[in-house]
Amino acid sequence: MIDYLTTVGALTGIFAIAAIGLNITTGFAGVFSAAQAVFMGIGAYVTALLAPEVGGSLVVCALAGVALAVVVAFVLASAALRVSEEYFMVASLAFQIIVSTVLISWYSVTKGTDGIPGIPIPTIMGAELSDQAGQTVLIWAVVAVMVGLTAVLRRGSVGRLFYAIREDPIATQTLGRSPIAGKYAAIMLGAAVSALGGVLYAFYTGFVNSATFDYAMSIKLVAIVVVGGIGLAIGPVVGSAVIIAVIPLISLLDLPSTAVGPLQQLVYGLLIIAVVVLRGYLTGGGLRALRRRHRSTLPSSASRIDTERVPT
Amino acid sequence: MSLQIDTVRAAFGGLVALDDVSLTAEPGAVTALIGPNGAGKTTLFNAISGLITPDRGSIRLGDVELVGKPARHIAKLGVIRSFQELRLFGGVSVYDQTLFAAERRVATRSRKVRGKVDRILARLGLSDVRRDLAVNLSYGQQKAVSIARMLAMEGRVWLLDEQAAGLAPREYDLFCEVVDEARRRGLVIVLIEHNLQLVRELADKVVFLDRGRALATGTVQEVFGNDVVRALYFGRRD
Repeated sequence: MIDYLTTVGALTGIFAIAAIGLNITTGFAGVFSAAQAVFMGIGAYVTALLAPEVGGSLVVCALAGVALAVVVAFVLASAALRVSEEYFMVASLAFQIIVSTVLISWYSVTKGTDGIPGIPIPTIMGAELSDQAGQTVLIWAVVAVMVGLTAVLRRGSVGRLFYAIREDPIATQTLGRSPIAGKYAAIMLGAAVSALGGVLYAFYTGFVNSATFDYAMSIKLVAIVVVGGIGLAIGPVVGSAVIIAVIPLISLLDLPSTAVGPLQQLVYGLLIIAVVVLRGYLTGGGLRALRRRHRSTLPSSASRIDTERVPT
Repeated sequence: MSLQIDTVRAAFGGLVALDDVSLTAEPGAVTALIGPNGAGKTTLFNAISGLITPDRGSIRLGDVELVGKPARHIAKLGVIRSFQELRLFGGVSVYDQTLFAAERRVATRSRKVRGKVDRILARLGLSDVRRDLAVNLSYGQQKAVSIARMLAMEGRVWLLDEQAAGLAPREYDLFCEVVDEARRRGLVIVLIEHNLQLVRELADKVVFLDRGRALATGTVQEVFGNDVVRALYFGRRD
């Protein structure tokens, strides 16, 4: 039971980190990516292939995984930012499917659906982190650092640029700033953080498989971000706790095994609908209040100018 | 330095929105663009600010040609604008979006910039709502935020698109004061207005646009007294 809880705790942290990356890209900068699992997968595969060569060095694997993810993110951004806003999601989904296919088919490197087992125990400056509890603590330390960094990012000039892009790219241009440069930054930064989640995933589970980092995983990351509160620094941690830790608890209920899977899917779906509906209600309420105020200002202004206002 | 617009033409399919428009807006003066809806006033602002590229013609700030430059470069040259629909960052606080406008780039050194933002918000009566999201403000306050962003940009040219419409009397007076201060600082100010009382009070020069053409240019008296303008715009012949 303790092992089970440790594993759930570790995976919750790992998915929180991966979702923090998506939260930067989508939550802060408003670029909707349906390919975030790709960057997590890059971190995981780099670790699986590199760790045996470098004695399990966590730092080397993390640097390499993050670097490759950033390069791939740059390529995705270069191709996909040519299309307009609405199509970026479609382009990123296509990218996700292409990469999944490559992971399955490039057997000589990825071992396809067989996967790569036996990833060594991670080491930090030569010291082995052999027990699961230690790794879980490390994972949560990374979560804390990432939440802290994103909170700082949000409050700083980069965060303001991301928000400006999300809210109104045209106004951003007329204020002298480049929405495209900001989108590149948001996609690459998000990829870097998600890749770090992938590195930790590979070390923790000791095994990577091409089926893991598919579009369903990307959708799961979106769900984590949405459920936790999109654009909040702590949101992905809350979302991950719900999606990764709480929903699987359904399997502990005394239910027929055939009911557990569908029930989990049902709760998962209802949760997303609930969040979307509630958020829509909240912002819609804000807009309604705005319109009310707007209307209430009109009579005074109309009476001020009607003597000279030209009928149009 | 003046803003010179020379035979600018912009057509969308068969619709000629700007038909060889020429005008000059001088520093330290308010130039008002008037004319019926669809006259091409906002299209001219879009052309100046780089959101559309005219089919031909030239738009110069001093010696610098603006046509063909991306919108953000034109903004960096100091040509800044407001939008009729404001285009505020609704989900961002008043303070943060004014600070964003004041920052020239990521990682601007902040203490001086923050002091400037504080002064601007105080001048526009926005200090009390600085932490509020723009979307939650009244319409008049939202218009003030639009002006706050322009003040924060410290431009050389202001393009104001119906910025006074819908303001309460006190907000209206404040707007006139801020524009007058900017004029005294030597900015080139071009404003689009349907409120002719405001044009009378503020404009040093008036340009009347109709169906993409600048039909009359001159002082308030000259343009308001022009027979063509009276016929087309005021709808009376007296």
